[in-house]
Amino acid sequence: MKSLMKNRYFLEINILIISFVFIFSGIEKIANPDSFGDAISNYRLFPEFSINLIAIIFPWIELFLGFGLFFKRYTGENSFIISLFLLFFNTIIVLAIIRGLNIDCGCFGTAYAQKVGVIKLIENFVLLALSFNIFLNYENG
Amino acid sequence: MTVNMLKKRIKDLDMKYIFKIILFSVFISLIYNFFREDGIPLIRKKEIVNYVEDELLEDSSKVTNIELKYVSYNQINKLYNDNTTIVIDARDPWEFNEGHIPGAINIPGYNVEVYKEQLSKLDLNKNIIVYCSEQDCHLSKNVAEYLIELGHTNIFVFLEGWDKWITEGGIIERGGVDEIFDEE
Repeated sequence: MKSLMKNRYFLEINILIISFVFIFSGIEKIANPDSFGDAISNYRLFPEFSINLIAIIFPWIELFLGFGLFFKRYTGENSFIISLFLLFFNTIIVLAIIRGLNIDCGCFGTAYAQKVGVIKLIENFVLLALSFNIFLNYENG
Repeated sequence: MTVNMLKKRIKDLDMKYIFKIILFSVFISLIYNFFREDGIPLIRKKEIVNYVEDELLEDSSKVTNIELKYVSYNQINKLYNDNTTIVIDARDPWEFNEGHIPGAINIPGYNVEVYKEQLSKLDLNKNIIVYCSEQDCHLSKNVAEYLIELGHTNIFVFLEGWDKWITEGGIIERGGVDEIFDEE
């Protein structure tokens, strides 16, 4: 198992998956900031005044992190921030489930409606495991 | 081993890069939002809701939608009891399936343009009530604004939405989205 985690090809696949997910979700959210704002608002966690700022800025961070990872620039730093983001996503999904919110997760903007729930949580934990593995085991060069 | 490795990895991080990438993203996003046609305001303001006057509901043909018209729970019942009123549920399909106002059709408000064909079939002379989950939900407004674009004039947004309907003990209908569309 340990050798698989450190396997160069496995790590390259991890990078491809995570960078694709972040680039794709960033583009989707940038395309529809208003709808993404609505999706954030549905979590009922953030103050009203902050919703639009999050909806404007956040997708661009996702996009640049995705590209950074894809081109293997500052791989450790990019995968570290991505892991923190995924941890944060999982936390708010858990909170939404606990509070019984039956909402769209807004994970890929709102173009592809995905219900907040256990399946979404598992998906995100898999992504978190992959990005954390990149952070821990990928060596540039 | 892993804890030490983790500590080392975190220690090796280039914090300047992290700071730069976030600052760069903030800068680009604000510039892009400023210049794009459909840019949104930086600060979202809580909307002041003015409910439509009761007299207008007696003869809704007088209502012309230049801006959104909001109706309260009591007002919605007046419209709802009129058989010609169409009710649109703007929430996601899975929420609709779990329960909705009887007779409502499901038009999710996130990508309302996708439902142009269904919405174009609706009678322009009928009253339409649109609702979603609760006051902070914007989906009903998205659908209502799109219906106005399509030429409808008697659109009412039930802003308190499904939460209020449940609280007040409104009748619930359950069922699949496909079944409802088939009936249409």
